[in-house]
Amino acid sequence: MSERLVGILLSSFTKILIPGIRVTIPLTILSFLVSLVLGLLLALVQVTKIRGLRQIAFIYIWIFRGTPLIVQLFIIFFGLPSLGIMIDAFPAAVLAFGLNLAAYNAEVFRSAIDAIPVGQTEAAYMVGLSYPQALFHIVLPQAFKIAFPSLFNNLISLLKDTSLASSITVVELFTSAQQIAARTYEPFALYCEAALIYLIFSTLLTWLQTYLEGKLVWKSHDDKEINISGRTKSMVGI
Amino acid sequence: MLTVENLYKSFGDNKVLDGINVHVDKGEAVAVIGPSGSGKTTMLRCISYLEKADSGHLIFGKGDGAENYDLHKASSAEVKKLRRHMGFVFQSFNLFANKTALGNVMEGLVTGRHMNKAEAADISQAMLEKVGLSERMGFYPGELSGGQQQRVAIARALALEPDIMLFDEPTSALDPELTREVLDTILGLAKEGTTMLVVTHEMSFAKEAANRIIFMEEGKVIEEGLTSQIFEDPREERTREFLKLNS
Repeated sequence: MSERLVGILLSSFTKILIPGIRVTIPLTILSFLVSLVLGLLLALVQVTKIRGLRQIAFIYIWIFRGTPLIVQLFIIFFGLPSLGIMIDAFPAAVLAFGLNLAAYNAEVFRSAIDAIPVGQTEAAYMVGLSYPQALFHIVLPQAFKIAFPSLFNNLISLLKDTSLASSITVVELFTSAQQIAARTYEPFALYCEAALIYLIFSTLLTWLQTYLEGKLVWKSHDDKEINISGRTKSMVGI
Repeated sequence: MLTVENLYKSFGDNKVLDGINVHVDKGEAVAVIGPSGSGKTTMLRCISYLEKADSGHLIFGKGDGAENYDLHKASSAEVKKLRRHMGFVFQSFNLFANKTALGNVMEGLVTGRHMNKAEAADISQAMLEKVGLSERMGFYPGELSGGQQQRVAIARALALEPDIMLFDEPTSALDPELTREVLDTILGLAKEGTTMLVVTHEMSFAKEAANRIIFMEEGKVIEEGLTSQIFEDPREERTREFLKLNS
Protein backbone atom coordinates (compact mmCIF):
# COMPACT_ATOMS: atom_id res chain seq x y z
CA MET A 1 0.00 0.00 0.00
CA SER A 2 1.40 3.35 -0.97
CA GLU A 3 2.15 5.98 1.62
CA ARG A 4 -0.28 8.30 -0.11
CA LEU A 5 -3.13 5.84 0.28
CA VAL A 6 -2.37 5.26 3.94
CA GLY A 7 -2.35 9.00 4.44
CA ILE A 8 -5.72 9.39 2.70
CA LEU A 9 -7.26 6.56 4.72
CA LEU A 10 -6.02 7.95 8.00
CA SER A 11 -7.06 11.52 7.36
CA SER A 12 -10.43 10.51 5.95
CA PHE A 13 -11.30 8.15 8.80
CA THR A 14 -12.46 10.90 11.12
CA LYS A 15 -13.99 12.82 8.22
CA ILE A 16 -16.27 9.84 7.62
CA LEU A 17 -16.69 8.85 11.25
CA ILE A 18 -17.81 12.28 12.45
CA PRO A 19 -20.77 12.61 10.04
CA GLY A 20 -21.48 9.02 10.98
CA ILE A 21 -21.80 9.98 14.63
CA ARG A 22 -23.44 13.34 14.02
CA VAL A 23 -25.87 12.36 11.27
CA THR A 24 -26.15 8.61 10.65
CA ILE A 25 -26.72 7.72 14.30
CA PRO A 26 -29.30 10.45 15.09
CA LEU A 27 -31.03 9.63 11.80
CA THR A 28 -31.16 5.97 12.79
CA ILE A 29 -32.40 6.64 16.31
CA LEU A 30 -35.07 9.16 15.34
CA SER A 31 -36.35 7.05 12.45
CA PHE A 32 -36.45 4.02 14.71
CA LEU A 33 -38.46 5.86 17.36
CA VAL A 34 -40.98 6.92 14.71
CA SER A 35 -41.20 3.33 13.47
CA LEU A 36 -41.67 1.93 16.98
CA VAL A 37 -44.51 4.26 17.95
CA LEU A 38 -46.28 4.02 14.61
CA GLY A 39 -45.61 0.28 14.31
CA LEU A 40 -47.12 -0.38 17.74
CA LEU A 41 -50.19 1.68 16.87
CA LEU A 42 -50.61 -0.18 13.59
CA ALA A 43 -50.31 -3.51 15.39
CA LEU A 44 -52.78 -2.48 18.09
CA VAL A 45 -55.51 -1.37 15.69
CA GLN A 46 -55.14 -4.74 14.01
CA VAL A 47 -55.31 -6.91 17.12
CA THR A 48 -58.07 -4.88 18.76
CA LYS A 49 -60.05 -5.28 15.55
CA ILE A 50 -61.19 -1.69 15.34
CA ARG A 51 -63.15 -1.67 12.10
CA GLY A 52 -62.07 0.89 9.55
CA LEU A 53 -58.77 1.59 11.27
CA ARG A 54 -57.86 -2.02 10.74
CA GLN A 55 -58.30 -1.70 6.99
CA ILE A 56 -56.23 1.47 6.99
CA ALA A 57 -53.42 -0.35 8.82
CA PHE A 58 -53.61 -3.19 6.34
CA ILE A 59 -53.37 -0.84 3.35
CA TYR A 60 -50.57 1.11 4.99
CA ILE A 61 -48.49 -2.02 5.53
CA TRP A 62 -49.30 -3.27 2.04
CA ILE A 63 -48.02 -0.07 0.43
CA PHE A 64 -44.96 0.58 2.58
CA ARG A 65 -43.73 -3.00 2.47
CA GLY A 66 -44.52 -3.38 -1.20
CA THR A 67 -42.61 -0.41 -2.59
CA PRO A 68 -38.88 0.32 -2.51
CA LEU A 69 -37.55 2.46 0.29
CA ILE A 70 -35.61 4.71 -2.07
CA VAL A 71 -38.77 5.42 -4.06
CA GLN A 72 -40.57 6.39 -0.85
CA LEU A 73 -37.64 8.60 0.05
CA PHE A 74 -37.76 10.32 -3.36
CA ILE A 75 -41.53 10.80 -3.18
CA ILE A 76 -41.22 12.52 0.19
CA PHE A 77 -38.21 14.69 -0.64
CA PHE A 78 -38.55 15.40 -4.37
CA GLY A 79 -42.22 14.64 -4.94
CA LEU A 80 -44.03 16.42 -2.11
CA PRO A 81 -42.64 19.90 -2.95
CA SER A 82 -44.67 19.81 -6.16
CA LEU A 83 -47.74 19.53 -3.93
CA GLY A 84 -46.48 22.50 -1.96
CA ILE A 85 -45.08 20.46 0.93
CA MET A 86 -41.43 21.29 1.46
CA ILE A 87 -39.49 19.14 3.91
CA ASP A 88 -35.77 19.55 4.62
CA ALA A 89 -33.54 16.64 3.71
CA PHE A 90 -32.91 15.35 7.24
CA PRO A 91 -36.53 15.37 8.46
CA ALA A 92 -37.60 13.94 5.10
CA ALA A 93 -35.19 11.06 5.64
CA VAL A 94 -36.44 10.50 9.22
CA LEU A 95 -39.99 10.46 7.92
CA ALA A 96 -39.30 8.08 5.05
CA PHE A 97 -37.25 5.63 7.12
CA GLY A 98 -39.68 5.85 10.05
CA LEU A 99 -42.79 5.33 7.94
CA ASN A 100 -41.20 2.47 6.04
CA LEU A 101 -39.88 0.59 9.04
CA ALA A 102 -43.17 1.11 10.89
CA ALA A 103 -44.79 -1.30 8.42
CA TYR A 104 -42.23 -3.97 9.29
CA ASN A 105 -42.31 -3.30 13.03
CA ALA A 106 -46.10 -3.45 12.97
CA GLU A 107 -45.87 -7.03 11.76
CA VAL A 108 -43.27 -7.84 14.40
CA PHE A 109 -45.49 -6.43 17.15
CA ARG A 110 -48.61 -8.07 15.78
CA SER A 111 -47.09 -11.53 15.60
CA ALA A 112 -45.59 -11.12 19.09
CA ILE A 113 -48.99 -10.10 20.49
CA ASP A 114 -50.59 -13.07 18.73
CA ALA A 115 -48.03 -15.35 20.37
CA ILE A 116 -49.33 -14.60 23.88
CA PRO A 117 -51.86 -17.28 24.85
CA VAL A 118 -55.37 -15.85 24.84
CA GLY A 119 -55.99 -17.69 28.12
CA GLN A 120 -53.93 -15.09 29.94
CA THR A 121 -56.23 -12.35 28.69
CA GLU A 122 -59.24 -14.40 29.81
CA ALA A 123 -57.65 -14.88 33.21
CA ALA A 124 -57.07 -11.13 33.36
CA TYR A 125 -60.76 -10.52 32.65
CA MET A 126 -61.71 -12.95 35.39
CA VAL A 127 -59.66 -11.04 37.97
CA GLY A 128 -61.42 -7.84 36.98
CA LEU A 129 -59.10 -6.29 34.42
CA SER A 130 -60.49 -4.39 31.45
CA TYR A 131 -59.24 -5.05 27.93
CA PRO A 132 -56.77 -2.12 27.94
CA GLN A 133 -55.51 -3.16 31.38
CA ALA A 134 -55.01 -6.74 30.21
CA LEU A 135 -53.20 -5.40 27.16
CA PHE A 136 -50.84 -3.07 29.00
CA HIS A 137 -50.21 -5.14 32.13
CA ILE A 138 -50.14 -8.66 30.75
CA VAL A 139 -49.96 -8.93 26.97
CA LEU A 140 -47.69 -6.11 25.83
CA PRO A 141 -44.87 -6.65 28.34
CA GLN A 142 -44.63 -10.25 27.16
CA ALA A 143 -45.05 -9.35 23.51
CA PHE A 144 -42.32 -6.76 23.78
CA LYS A 145 -39.90 -9.35 25.07
CA ILE A 146 -40.72 -11.66 22.17
CA ALA A 147 -40.50 -8.81 19.66
CA PHE A 148 -37.23 -7.46 21.00
CA PRO A 149 -34.74 -9.50 18.90
CA SER A 150 -36.68 -8.85 15.68
CA LEU A 151 -37.00 -5.17 16.47
CA PHE A 152 -33.28 -4.97 17.05
CA ASN A 153 -32.69 -6.79 13.81
CA ASN A 154 -34.72 -4.12 12.06
CA LEU A 155 -32.72 -1.43 13.85
CA ILE A 156 -29.48 -2.84 12.47
CA SER A 157 -30.98 -2.97 8.97
CA LEU A 158 -32.10 0.61 9.37
CA LEU A 159 -28.61 1.74 10.36
CA LYS A 160 -27.32 0.50 7.03
CA ASP A 161 -30.32 1.71 5.03
CA THR A 162 -29.74 5.27 6.21
CA SER A 163 -26.94 5.38 3.62
CA LEU A 164 -29.76 5.89 1.09
CA ALA A 165 -30.20 9.36 2.58
CA SER A 166 -27.07 10.31 0.64
CA SER A 167 -29.26 10.33 -2.44
CA ILE A 168 -31.40 13.17 -1.08
CA THR A 169 -28.46 15.40 -0.10
CA VAL A 170 -28.20 14.42 3.57
CA VAL A 171 -24.52 14.61 4.40
CA GLU A 172 -24.15 11.43 6.41
CA LEU A 173 -21.49 8.74 6.65
CA PHE A 174 -21.75 7.43 3.12
CA THR A 175 -22.09 10.88 1.50
CA SER A 176 -18.83 11.89 3.19
CA ALA A 177 -17.10 8.80 1.84
CA GLN A 178 -18.45 9.54 -1.65
CA GLN A 179 -17.17 13.10 -1.53
CA ILE A 180 -13.66 12.07 -0.45
CA ALA A 181 -13.61 9.25 -3.01
CA ALA A 182 -14.47 11.70 -5.78
CA ARG A 183 -11.74 14.08 -4.66
CA THR A 184 -8.97 11.50 -4.20
CA TYR A 185 -9.87 8.99 -6.94
CA GLU A 186 -9.59 6.15 -4.43
CA PRO A 187 -13.11 4.71 -4.45
CA PHE A 188 -12.11 1.20 -3.47
CA ALA A 189 -10.26 2.25 -0.34
CA LEU A 190 -12.77 4.89 0.70
CA TYR A 191 -15.86 2.73 0.28
CA CYS A 192 -14.15 -0.09 2.17
CA GLU A 193 -13.42 2.40 4.91
CA ALA A 194 -17.07 3.45 4.96
CA ALA A 195 -18.05 -0.21 5.13
CA LEU A 196 -15.69 -0.69 8.06
CA ILE A 197 -17.28 2.17 9.98
CA TYR A 198 -20.77 0.78 9.36
CA LEU A 199 -19.49 -2.57 10.55
CA ILE A 200 -18.17 -0.99 13.76
CA PHE A 201 -21.55 0.67 14.40
CA SER A 202 -23.54 -2.48 13.75
CA THR A 203 -21.17 -4.56 15.89
CA LEU A 204 -21.73 -2.14 18.76
CA LEU A 205 -25.47 -2.49 18.25
CA THR A 206 -25.19 -6.27 18.30
CA TRP A 207 -23.34 -6.09 21.60
CA LEU A 208 -25.98 -3.74 22.93
CA GLN A 209 -28.67 -6.22 21.89
CA THR A 210 -26.98 -9.09 23.72
CA TYR A 211 -26.57 -6.95 26.82
CA LEU A 212 -30.17 -5.73 26.79
CA GLU A 213 -31.61 -9.18 26.18
CA GLY A 214 -29.84 -10.35 29.30
CA LYS A 215 -31.41 -7.48 31.23
CA LEU A 216 -34.85 -8.04 29.85
CA VAL A 217 -36.75 -9.44 32.80
CA TRP A 218 -40.33 -8.69 33.62
CA LYS A 219 -41.23 -6.37 36.40
CA SER A 220 -43.79 -7.73 38.74
CA HIS A 221 -45.77 -5.90 41.36
CA ASP A 222 -43.54 -7.26 44.05
CA ASP A 223 -40.02 -6.50 42.86
CA LYS A 224 -38.93 -3.54 44.84
CA GLU A 225 -41.20 -2.69 47.68
CA ILE A 226 -42.00 -6.02 49.12
CA ASN A 227 -39.69 -8.47 50.74
CA ILE A 228 -40.19 -11.82 49.15
CA SER A 229 -38.89 -15.19 50.00
CA GLY A 230 -37.71 -17.79 47.58
CA ARG A 231 -35.96 -15.68 44.98
CA THR A 232 -32.43 -14.42 45.28
CA LYS A 233 -31.83 -13.28 41.70
CA SER A 234 -32.10 -9.54 41.36
CA MET A 235 -34.65 -8.39 38.87
CA VAL A 236 -34.36 -5.56 36.41
CA GLY A 237 -37.69 -4.51 35.02
CA ILE A 238 -38.94 -3.27 31.74
CA MET B 1 -77.25 -18.20 45.02
CA LEU B 2 -76.47 -18.81 41.35
CA THR B 3 -79.10 -19.99 38.91
CA VAL B 4 -78.59 -20.59 35.21
CA GLU B 5 -81.70 -20.80 33.10
CA ASN B 6 -82.21 -22.15 29.60
CA LEU B 7 -78.64 -21.89 28.42
CA TYR B 8 -78.17 -22.59 24.71
CA LYS B 9 -74.98 -22.46 22.71
CA SER B 10 -74.00 -23.75 19.28
CA PHE B 11 -70.75 -23.64 17.40
CA GLY B 12 -71.96 -23.67 13.81
CA ASP B 13 -74.25 -26.69 13.45
CA ASN B 14 -72.91 -28.25 16.59
CA LYS B 15 -75.31 -27.81 19.51
CA VAL B 16 -72.99 -27.71 22.48
CA LEU B 17 -75.46 -26.59 25.13
CA ASP B 18 -79.07 -27.57 24.65
CA GLY B 19 -81.12 -25.90 27.33
CA ILE B 20 -79.09 -26.13 30.51
CA ASN B 21 -80.56 -25.29 33.92
CA VAL B 22 -78.21 -25.29 36.86
CA HIS B 23 -78.53 -24.07 40.40
CA VAL B 24 -75.89 -23.71 43.09
CA ASP B 25 -76.69 -22.75 46.67
CA LYS B 26 -74.44 -20.80 48.96
CA GLY B 27 -71.89 -23.04 50.66
CA GLU B 28 -72.51 -25.86 48.25
CA ALA B 29 -69.90 -27.73 46.22
CA VAL B 30 -71.38 -28.97 42.98
CA ALA B 31 -69.43 -31.22 40.63
CA VAL B 32 -70.26 -31.41 36.93
CA ILE B 33 -69.33 -34.73 35.36
CA GLY B 34 -69.86 -36.25 31.96
CA PRO B 35 -68.05 -37.50 28.88
CA SER B 36 -65.71 -35.32 26.83
CA GLY B 37 -67.57 -33.01 24.51
CA SER B 38 -70.68 -32.97 26.67
CA GLY B 39 -70.47 -29.16 27.00
CA LYS B 40 -69.25 -28.91 30.59
CA THR B 41 -66.45 -26.47 29.86
CA THR B 42 -68.58 -24.42 27.47
CA MET B 43 -71.19 -24.12 30.19
CA LEU B 44 -68.65 -22.62 32.61
CA ARG B 45 -67.34 -20.32 29.91
CA CYS B 46 -70.85 -19.09 29.11
CA ILE B 47 -71.64 -18.55 32.79
CA SER B 48 -68.58 -16.32 33.10
CA TYR B 49 -69.26 -14.65 29.74
CA LEU B 50 -65.92 -15.77 28.30
CA GLU B 51 -68.15 -17.26 25.64
CA LYS B 52 -71.30 -15.53 24.50
CA ALA B 53 -74.31 -17.84 24.79
CA ASP B 54 -76.93 -18.00 22.05
CA SER B 55 -79.49 -17.45 24.78
CA GLY B 56 -79.78 -17.92 28.50
CA HIS B 57 -80.00 -16.11 31.79
CA LEU B 58 -78.02 -16.08 34.95
CA ILE B 59 -79.61 -14.99 38.20
CA PHE B 60 -77.36 -14.10 41.06
CA GLY B 61 -78.75 -13.88 44.58
CA LYS B 62 -82.33 -14.25 45.69
CA GLY B 63 -85.47 -12.20 46.06
CA ASP B 64 -85.48 -8.44 45.58
CA GLY B 65 -81.73 -8.06 45.48
CA ALA B 66 -81.28 -10.68 42.77
CA GLU B 67 -79.24 -9.67 39.74
CA ASN B 68 -80.41 -10.93 36.39
CA TYR B 69 -77.93 -11.22 33.54
CA ASP B 70 -78.66 -11.97 29.91
CA LEU B 71 -75.87 -14.33 28.89
CA HIS B 72 -76.37 -13.42 25.25
CA LYS B 73 -76.13 -9.67 25.45
CA ALA B 74 -74.73 -8.22 28.64
CA SER B 75 -73.14 -4.77 28.59
CA SER B 76 -69.47 -4.58 29.49
CA ALA B 77 -70.42 -3.03 32.83
CA GLU B 78 -72.74 -5.94 33.52
CA VAL B 79 -70.08 -8.44 32.52
CA LYS B 80 -67.64 -6.80 34.90
CA LYS B 81 -70.21 -6.91 37.71
CA LEU B 82 -71.05 -10.55 36.94
CA ARG B 83 -67.41 -11.60 36.97
CA ARG B 84 -66.84 -9.84 40.26
CA HIS B 85 -68.90 -12.59 41.88
CA MET B 86 -66.75 -15.31 40.36
CA GLY B 87 -63.34 -16.82 40.68
CA PHE B 88 -62.31 -18.87 37.67
CA VAL B 89 -59.67 -21.59 37.65
CA PHE B 90 -58.68 -22.70 34.17
CA GLN B 91 -57.63 -26.12 32.97
CA SER B 92 -54.39 -24.65 31.61
CA PHE B 93 -53.74 -22.40 34.65
CA ASN B 94 -53.31 -19.28 32.50
CA LEU B 95 -50.97 -17.61 34.93
CA PHE B 96 -49.54 -14.28 33.81
CA ALA B 97 -46.10 -15.31 32.58
CA ASN B 98 -44.64 -11.85 33.23
CA LYS B 99 -45.57 -11.84 36.91
CA THR B 100 -44.25 -13.80 39.85
CA ALA B 101 -46.58 -16.00 41.87
CA LEU B 102 -47.17 -13.08 44.20
CA GLY B 103 -47.57 -10.67 41.29
CA ASN B 104 -50.17 -12.97 39.75
CA VAL B 105 -52.26 -12.92 42.90
CA MET B 106 -51.82 -9.18 43.40
CA GLU B 107 -52.73 -8.21 39.84
CA GLY B 108 -56.50 -8.32 40.27
CA LEU B 109 -56.36 -6.46 43.56
CA VAL B 110 -53.97 -3.74 42.43
CA THR B 111 -54.95 -3.20 38.79
CA GLY B 112 -58.54 -4.40 38.85
CA ARG B 113 -59.61 -3.08 42.23
CA HIS B 114 -57.10 -0.28 42.77
CA MET B 115 -56.04 -1.52 46.17
CA ASN B 116 -52.75 -0.16 47.48
CA LYS B 117 -49.82 -2.47 46.95
CA ALA B 118 -48.94 -3.13 50.57
CA GLU B 119 -52.44 -4.21 51.46
CA ALA B 120 -52.73 -6.29 48.29
CA ALA B 121 -49.40 -7.95 49.07
CA ASP B 122 -50.60 -8.89 52.57
CA ILE B 123 -53.76 -10.48 51.23
CA SER B 124 -51.88 -12.21 48.43
CA GLN B 125 -49.24 -13.61 50.75
CA ALA B 126 -51.96 -14.98 53.00
CA MET B 127 -53.66 -16.61 49.99
CA LEU B 128 -50.43 -18.19 48.79
CA GLU B 129 -49.80 -19.50 52.29
CA LYS B 130 -53.28 -20.97 52.28
CA VAL B 131 -52.49 -22.99 49.16
CA GLY B 132 -49.13 -24.00 50.61
CA LEU B 133 -46.87 -21.85 48.44
CA SER B 134 -45.33 -19.35 50.82
CA GLU B 135 -41.90 -20.59 49.73
CA ARG B 136 -42.56 -19.87 46.07
CA MET B 137 -43.95 -16.35 46.08
CA GLY B 138 -41.07 -14.82 44.17
CA PHE B 139 -41.01 -17.43 41.42
CA TYR B 140 -42.26 -16.91 37.89
CA PRO B 141 -44.80 -19.37 36.45
CA GLY B 142 -42.11 -20.91 34.25
CA GLU B 143 -40.16 -21.79 37.38
CA LEU B 144 -43.07 -23.62 39.03
CA SER B 145 -44.42 -27.12 38.54
CA GLY B 146 -47.86 -27.57 37.01
CA GLY B 147 -49.40 -28.34 40.38
CA GLN B 148 -47.83 -25.26 41.92
CA GLN B 149 -49.01 -23.11 39.02
CA GLN B 150 -52.55 -24.33 39.46
CA ARG B 151 -52.41 -23.61 43.18
CA VAL B 152 -51.21 -20.07 42.41
CA ALA B 153 -54.18 -19.78 40.04
CA ILE B 154 -56.49 -20.84 42.86
CA ALA B 155 -54.93 -18.28 45.20
CA ARG B 156 -55.29 -15.63 42.50
CA ALA B 157 -59.02 -16.31 42.26
CA LEU B 158 -59.54 -16.55 46.03
CA ALA B 159 -57.77 -13.25 46.73
CA LEU B 160 -60.70 -11.38 45.19
CA GLU B 161 -63.12 -13.05 47.61
CA PRO B 162 -65.53 -14.33 44.98
CA ASP B 163 -68.98 -15.56 45.96
CA ILE B 164 -68.49 -18.66 43.87
CA MET B 165 -65.44 -20.46 42.52
CA LEU B 166 -65.66 -22.01 39.06
CA PHE B 167 -63.18 -24.78 38.34
CA ASP B 168 -62.74 -25.93 34.76
CA GLU B 169 -61.13 -29.38 34.88
CA PRO B 170 -58.45 -28.07 37.21
CA THR B 171 -56.29 -31.19 37.07
CA SER B 172 -56.69 -32.34 33.46
CA ALA B 173 -53.46 -30.70 32.35
CA LEU B 174 -51.44 -32.15 35.22
CA ASP B 175 -49.28 -35.22 35.57
CA PRO B 176 -51.01 -37.84 37.75
CA GLU B 177 -48.56 -37.34 40.61
CA LEU B 178 -49.31 -33.61 40.70
CA THR B 179 -53.10 -33.83 40.67
CA ARG B 180 -53.31 -34.78 44.34
CA GLU B 181 -51.89 -31.50 45.67
CA VAL B 182 -54.38 -29.51 43.61
CA LEU B 183 -57.34 -31.72 44.51
CA ASP B 184 -56.42 -31.52 48.18
CA THR B 185 -56.37 -27.74 47.94
CA ILE B 186 -59.84 -27.68 46.37
CA LEU B 187 -61.10 -30.27 48.83
CA GLY B 188 -59.89 -28.04 51.67
CA LEU B 189 -61.90 -25.15 50.24
CA ALA B 190 -64.99 -27.32 49.90
CA LYS B 191 -64.67 -28.39 53.54
CA GLU B 192 -64.51 -24.73 54.57
CA GLY B 193 -67.82 -24.17 52.84
CA THR B 194 -66.58 -22.33 49.77
CA THR B 195 -69.33 -22.24 47.16
CA MET B 196 -68.05 -23.93 44.05
CA LEU B 197 -68.97 -25.40 40.71
CA VAL B 198 -66.34 -27.89 39.61
CA VAL B 199 -66.11 -29.49 36.17
CA THR B 200 -64.05 -32.59 36.70
CA HIS B 201 -63.02 -35.98 35.35
CA GLU B 202 -61.84 -37.16 38.76
CA MET B 203 -64.69 -39.29 40.02
CA SER B 204 -63.16 -40.09 43.38
CA PHE B 205 -62.59 -36.39 43.92
CA ALA B 206 -66.17 -35.54 42.95
CA LYS B 207 -67.36 -38.17 45.38
CA GLU B 208 -65.25 -36.78 48.17
CA ALA B 209 -65.65 -33.05 47.63
CA ALA B 210 -69.10 -32.47 46.19
CA ASN B 211 -72.44 -32.18 47.93
CA ARG B 212 -74.24 -32.51 44.67
CA ILE B 213 -73.45 -33.96 41.24
CA ILE B 214 -74.66 -32.87 37.84
CA PHE B 215 -74.26 -35.39 35.04
CA MET B 216 -74.16 -33.87 31.55
CA GLU B 217 -74.19 -35.48 28.15
CA GLU B 218 -74.59 -33.99 24.67
CA GLY B 219 -75.31 -30.54 25.99
CA LYS B 220 -78.05 -31.58 28.38
CA VAL B 221 -78.27 -32.18 32.09
CA ILE B 222 -79.18 -35.87 32.19
CA GLU B 223 -79.36 -36.25 35.93
CA GLU B 224 -78.58 -34.37 39.07
CA GLY B 225 -78.74 -35.29 42.68
CA LEU B 226 -76.95 -35.68 45.96
CA THR B 227 -73.50 -37.18 45.61
CA SER B 228 -74.41 -40.37 47.43
CA GLN B 229 -77.53 -40.89 45.33
CA ILE B 230 -75.73 -40.39 42.01
CA PHE B 231 -72.88 -42.70 42.86
CA GLU B 232 -74.85 -45.37 44.67
CA ASP B 233 -78.18 -45.31 42.95
CA PRO B 234 -78.24 -43.39 39.66
CA ARG B 235 -81.72 -43.19 38.18
CA GLU B 236 -80.67 -42.81 34.55
CA GLU B 237 -79.19 -45.62 32.52
CA ARG B 238 -76.69 -43.27 30.86
CA THR B 239 -75.40 -42.06 34.19
CA ARG B 240 -74.95 -45.64 35.29
CA GLU B 241 -73.00 -46.51 32.13
CA PHE B 242 -70.80 -43.46 32.44
CA LEU B 243 -69.99 -44.20 36.06
CA LYS B 244 -69.23 -47.81 35.26
CA LEU B 245 -66.76 -46.74 32.58
CA ASN B 246 -65.15 -44.08 34.74
CA SER B 247 -64.64 -45.60 38.12
